[in-house]
Order: sequence, then structure tokens, then C-alpha cells
Amino acid sequence: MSEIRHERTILQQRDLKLRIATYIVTILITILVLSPFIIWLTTVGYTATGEMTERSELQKFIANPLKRILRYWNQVVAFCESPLLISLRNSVIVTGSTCIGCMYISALTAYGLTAYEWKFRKALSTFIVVVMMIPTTMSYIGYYKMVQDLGLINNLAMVIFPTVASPITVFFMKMYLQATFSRELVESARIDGAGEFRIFNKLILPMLKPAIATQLIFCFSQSWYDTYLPAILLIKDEFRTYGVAYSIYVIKPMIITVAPPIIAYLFCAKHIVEGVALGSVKQ
Amino acid sequence: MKDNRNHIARHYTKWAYIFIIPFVVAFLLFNFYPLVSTFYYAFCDLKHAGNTDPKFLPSIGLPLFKNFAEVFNSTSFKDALRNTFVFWIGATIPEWILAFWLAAMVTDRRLKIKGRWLFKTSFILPQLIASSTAAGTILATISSVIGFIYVAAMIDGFGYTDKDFEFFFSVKFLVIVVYMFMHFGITFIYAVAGITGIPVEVFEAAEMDGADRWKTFFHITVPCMKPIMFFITVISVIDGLAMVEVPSWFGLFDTSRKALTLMQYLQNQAFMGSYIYDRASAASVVLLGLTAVFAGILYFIFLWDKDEAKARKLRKKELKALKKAA
Repeated sequence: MSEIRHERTILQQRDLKLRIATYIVTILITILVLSPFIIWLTTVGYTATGEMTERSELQKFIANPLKRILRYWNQVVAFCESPLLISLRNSVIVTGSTCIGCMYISALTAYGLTAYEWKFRKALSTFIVVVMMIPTTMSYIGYYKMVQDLGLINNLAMVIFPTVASPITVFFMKMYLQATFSRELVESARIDGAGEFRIFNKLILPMLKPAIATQLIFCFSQSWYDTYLPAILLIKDEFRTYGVAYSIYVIKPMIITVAPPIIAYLFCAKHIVEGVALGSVKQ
Repeated sequence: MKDNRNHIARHYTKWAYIFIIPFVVAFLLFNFYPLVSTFYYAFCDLKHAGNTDPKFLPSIGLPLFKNFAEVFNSTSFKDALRNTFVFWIGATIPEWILAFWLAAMVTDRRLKIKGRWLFKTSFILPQLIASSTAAGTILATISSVIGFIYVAAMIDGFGYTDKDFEFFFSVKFLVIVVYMFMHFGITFIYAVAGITGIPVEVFEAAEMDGADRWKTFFHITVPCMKPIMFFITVISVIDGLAMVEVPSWFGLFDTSRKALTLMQYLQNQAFMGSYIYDRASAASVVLLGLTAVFAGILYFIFLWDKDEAKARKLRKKELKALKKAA
């Protein structure tokens, strides 16, 4: 009896050690992640406008909060007057349409591949598995030439279109839908007289929420920080996206740069995929 | 009855085509056609900005594989090729170990670790604040830590000289660290999603049979999360081969281009000043070939069904025997 108890305490001790190790590693990583903000708050050095400061941001804020807040306000005003505002608008358009388009189209395709029995279903599934391993950036030379031939350089839509069709998003959504899909539900909806699009919008989209949330975070941050395609396709000042313009202008409010992806994450975080046995790779 | 049902199902199949049209059209027009034309440009003469007239190489009396020869002869391409693999493998191995270990720990039933959302949020944050400034400050932290160790070692001796630490100050090492740091959250989130999808009973059974964590992980968790493992690997390959952002942040410090990756090479050749589209296309095709090799490897690891292949072989043999008999 005592031996068993002894064994159990050894096991518990080992568990405790593992738990502590996990927490320590996590806390270290968290500190490293938050370090940009910590450094921004506590270091003595250059400010965003390039002047030397003697005290850190935090000290200054504590010393005279009102003055600091006014200063931030002035920075915001300066930002609104600078060309960065236009680029921010461009970025919002590009990222917004990319995310909405990519998510809706991918969900549609995943549903079409899962719910219906049709001739080329297997062929298209295999095609998606094959092409999803090709990085999108690889076709950009051909794409650039195509846009140039069409005379559509400096057109925001041309940045949006190639990111809308993303095989890897389709693959993930299909994998998720296969695990959660029930044919009976769709059939009963059909008997109730719902149209196919209505079934998709009202039944399947809510069902896919976790998969959409997971993909949306990555889609959003990728599109928001993308500098490759916008830099080669949007040359005029008034069409620059924020990610590109950011590296050109002096006024760089970091908070405006990082806020949109973080807000997008906070909306999606609750729904991130968890606890669903994802379907098989094939078909 | 069954016939009727089939008839109804057929009635609905037209909707499948309607649903997939947007994706197929968008993909073929904006991804696939450009890819094919890139392939064509690799065998063309297409230089200078604004040139919209590709000439097929043999038609102007030049060897067909001229662009490929140029690509393989340039030293910066070789550097880029080597760097890409060094960065990718160097970052992926520690990243996976860390991500899968943490994912296994966080989801372990016996450990009962709380605050999973906090883990996720903090691990995904680098992806969310991926701007160059934020990454620069992350870099500053890492290099100050390295510098601290360095100074401590220098003061105390320990038998080390500054030569021993050279690697830790190189741009390559920092690229690996920052890339791993940026990419770690993605792997973690998908790994947690995969592990939590495995039914609890399986783990309980393993526990009953006295399997320790190590065995449980390799013999139960990994085989059970095969689909998501495939997904994680594909993402790792795509992001690794197309790595361009992290090394480009080091542009200021990397004047001798020690951290050049394939994608950066491509970008430099085509768009950033050179406008040598044909050579860049050839480099793209080489990259495509590499991707195809990896895709093949992944296919054999994850999708190749041994039993199915055997069954197919057997069926063929039987058919042959039947034919012979007939």
C-alpha cells in the first residue's frame, strides 16, 4: 500500500515539475512577445520623431499625463494630415475585401466539395491538394506582366484578386466541414423549402465559424502586412497600401499599424478551432 | 426509392458547380494562368521595365536554357538556395519541438494547465504585430540578451573568445530566431486544434495500459492527428520556401547579402531595380521544381496508403490472370 502511495507521489512530483516548466517557458515567450511594448515604454532613447529624450515614455507619462496625452493627440492630427491616412484607407479596402472574399469563396468551395456528389469532385480535391503547396508569390512575375498588359497597374482590385482564391484555406475548411457536416440537416432544410444559397448562408456558414475564424486571423495579418504585391502593382502615392507607405514616411504611429490585426484577432479568438476531430486528408 | 433519391441528388448537383465557380475562375485567372505564363517567360527574352514583348529564345537564335544557365551560374542564387534551406530547416526543427511540446503539455489531461487562451494569444502576437518596427525591437531584445551573455563570458573568461560567439551575432542566426518566433504561433494553434480533436477515451486507454507521455505522444497523438500534421507540414514548406519578409527586415544590417533567400533573389531580379524578368522566371521555375519535390515527399509520407496500393496491385494481378484464363 505504501509503495503504491510512494509511486503516486513520485508521479505527482513529476507532473508538478512539468507544469512548472511549461509555465516558465510560456512566461518567457510572453515576455519576449511583449518586449516591443515594454521597450517602447521603458527605454530612454529616440522618439518616433527622431529627437533624443532623457526620460522613458512611462516616466514622462507619469510626470505629466495631460501633456503626454496632448502630444499623442498632436501625433494623431499629424497622422491624419499626412498621406498615410489615404494609404490606411487603401489598406482597409484591400484587407477587408481580401478577407471577406477569401473566406466566403473558400467556404462555398468547401461546401460544394463536401455536400454534393458530382463528377469532378475527386479531381478538384486532388487538384487543390496539389496546388496548395505552391506558394502564391511564385506566379507574381506572370501576374505582373498580365496586369501590365491589361493596363491595370495602380488598381486596388488587382491586389485583391490573386489572394481571394486560396487553396490552403479551402483545404482547411473542407477538412473541418467533413468532420461536422450532416447530410440529414441539409436534407431537412430542403424539405422545409430552403434554397441552396439560403442553406449555405444560414446553416453552413455558422457551422464553419471556427474554421473561418482560424483562417481569418492569418489571412488578415498576411494581407495587412503584405508588401510584395502592393509594392509592385500600386506605384502612385494615392494608391499605396499602409504596409508599403509605412516604410517611406517619417511619422510612424506603431499603435495604428498593429491595432487592426489585434482587433481582428480579439474578434476571432473565441471561435478558434478546438476539440473537433478533423476529417481525412483524402477526398 | 433509391432511384428516386439519386434523381433528387442529381437535381442538386448543378449547385455544386455553381458553388465552386468563383473559386475555380479566380484561381485559374489570377493564379494558375500567371504561373503558366511565368513558366513560359523562363524560356523567353524579357528584360527592362515596361517590356511587354516576350521573345521565345530559339526564335532569336539563343539557346533554350539560357536563363536557367544564368541562374545556376550566379553565385547569389546558390547562396540564396543554401540560405533558404538553412533558415527553413534551422527554424523549423526547434519551432516544431517547442510548439508540439507546449501543445502536448497544454492539452494534457493530467496536468490540467489553465489559461489556454492566454497561451494562444501571446504565441500568436508576433504574427499580429509583424511590422518591421515591432520585429526590430524583438531583435533588439534578443541581441541584447546575446550581448549580455557575450559580455559576461568575456569578463569571466570561461575559456571563450569572441570568435566562439561570432555565429550568434551573424544575420543568419538572427533570421532563424526571428522567423521561428514569428511562425511558432501558427504551428502551436494548429497542433492544439489537432490534439484536442482526438477522443479522450484513446488517451485514457493509453494511460490505463501504463504508457508514459513520451510513448503516448509518438504512438497515439501523432498518428491520430495525421490530417492536421499534413496541414502543418504544408504550411511549413510554403512559408519556408517563400520566406521573404523576415530576411528583408535585415536589409539595413545585411549589406553583403548574407541572408538572401530564394524569394528575395526573385524579387530583386524582377522588381527591385534589375527588371530581368526572364531570369527571375527561370528562378521561379526552379523554385517550383523544389516545391514539387517536397510535395512528392509529403504525398508519400501522409497520403500514400500502403494497403491500398497493395490491394490495387493484387487486383491487377487477378485481372491479368483472369484474362489469361479467358
